Amino acid sequence: MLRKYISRRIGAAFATVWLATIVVFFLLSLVPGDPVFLMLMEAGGLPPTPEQLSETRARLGFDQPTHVRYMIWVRNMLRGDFGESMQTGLPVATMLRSAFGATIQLALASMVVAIVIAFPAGILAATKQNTIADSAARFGSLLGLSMPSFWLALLLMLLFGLQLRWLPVFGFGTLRHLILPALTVGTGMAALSARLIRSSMLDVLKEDYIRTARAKGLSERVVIWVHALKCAMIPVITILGLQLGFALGGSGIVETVFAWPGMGRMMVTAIFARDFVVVQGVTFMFAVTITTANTLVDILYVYLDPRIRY
Amino acid sequence: MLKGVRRLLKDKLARIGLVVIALFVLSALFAPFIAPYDPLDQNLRNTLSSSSASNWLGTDLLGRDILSRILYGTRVSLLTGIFVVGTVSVTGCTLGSLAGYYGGTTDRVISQVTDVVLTFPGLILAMAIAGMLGPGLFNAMVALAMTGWPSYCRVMRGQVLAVKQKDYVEAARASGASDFVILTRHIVPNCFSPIVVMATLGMGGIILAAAGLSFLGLGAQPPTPEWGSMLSDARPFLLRAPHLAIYPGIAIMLVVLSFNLVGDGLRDALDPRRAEQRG
Repeated sequence: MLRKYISRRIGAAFATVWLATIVVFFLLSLVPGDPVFLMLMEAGGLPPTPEQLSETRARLGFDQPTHVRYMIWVRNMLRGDFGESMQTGLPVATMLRSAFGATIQLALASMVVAIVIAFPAGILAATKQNTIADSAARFGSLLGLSMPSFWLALLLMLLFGLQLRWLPVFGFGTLRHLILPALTVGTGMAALSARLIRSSMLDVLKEDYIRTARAKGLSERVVIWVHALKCAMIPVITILGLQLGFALGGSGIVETVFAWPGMGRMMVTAIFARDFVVVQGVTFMFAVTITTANTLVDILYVYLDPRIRY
Repeated sequence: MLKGVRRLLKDKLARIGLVVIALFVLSALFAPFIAPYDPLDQNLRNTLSSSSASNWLGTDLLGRDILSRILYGTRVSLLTGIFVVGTVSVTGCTLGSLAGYYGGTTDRVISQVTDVVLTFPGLILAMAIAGMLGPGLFNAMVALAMTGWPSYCRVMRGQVLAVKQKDYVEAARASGASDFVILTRHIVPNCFSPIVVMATLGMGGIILAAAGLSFLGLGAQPPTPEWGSMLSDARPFLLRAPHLAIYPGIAIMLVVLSFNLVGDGLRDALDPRRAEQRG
């Protein structure tokens, strides 16, 4: 039963990724004008000669009918070949490999920030329901959700980078470079998660076994931190999945502000360089990452919650 | 619904939100009368200056008045929000009701398309679409409209599935009403509460996303006064002129926060059971 569910879930993930290739492939048809001409023009700075144009069209398969071009494109991707950047001449797969690492590094660091803020806040709000602490947590999380990440980034840069000079304003490599971007993304994530943790905790606190635990004479601290939290943790797996989505979704903006060499910045740079092959490659990589994460979350869920049976 | 509005007005935070939104709408409507200067007027003798009696919030690199630009920027943000939220909620609700009502293949196809759009995280697909179409406010709006509808579709589908089972729908069908009449008269009007909440919260989300695209250079283009691009212009002068980076951000946050407060209040007002739990 369980194995059947898991294999079905993985099958669905492959179907989603396949459909994502169609979306990404047709992105190119949104370009007004001839994409090959525009790419060559931007990369060379001059209008391409007819020979260059026809040579590149042939190399990218643009002389083929659309469905043939799609097949070639998918076949190449299955082999790990995402094409080459017009700007740098590098294989997109190579660029993606280092950018993916940087993006995931930032996402994980942001999750740590988010968890450190969201857990105490969410649990406090749930256990002290309808008090000032609860209202403060509610308002604080709405504030966090309403704050533009790029604005928070500028404020953090201004305060910690330029006024206090504690941390580098942008760049990549050391732990110190990671702090400001992680704080930026983590704050938004924490706002999102604290609300979910609070409501999940509230649901659990109403359960019978919590009443039993209290009736047994256990201290309130044990009831909340051991009995309730254990069950309230299950939806948190979903929260981690959502957090990853949040981090990746905002990566275009945050990575650009902090010059963080991840997939988001790679995408923005490629957009302005009219390097469409790279834009397609990164967009697809984002879809693959999210689909993989969602699938893992669904499977983990079944293992963690014995009440769910498929 | 009327009861819902009355309950909403009892929520103090939601009331504050409504007032702030009203203020922003007024400043959008009457920007030419309120703004002290033309938002495009340059004064190269008075650049990057901080707050003063003549320019309350200071001036930017070209000596344009920040306050006037923020007031005019309200127009861009609110119009973008209204256009995009209007488009995505109508598209999403239409597709969602069709999927929920007809089920079968219709449902499978629509749900599959919804899932695919949702596999691209947050702004990523909108960035890709806006990038392919080329930078510009209208293209950014199109990109946000193309990627924003799936959540409405999902919620509407679930709503329709639930309402479809109700007795009065059965009665309408028995009395020989057509699918179209059943859907538009009996089902859809009873599915709207969560959509209203989503659209209110969505205004905040879209204003945030549109400002983000403009910040990246993919949305409103210079010299249009727009909050996101004003913040982007502020980046090289963070230390010399921090006020450039502060005020437009406050404007974005206030608007988005207000829509979130009202949306949150509406959710409780329209679903009293939830409110009880929340208090």
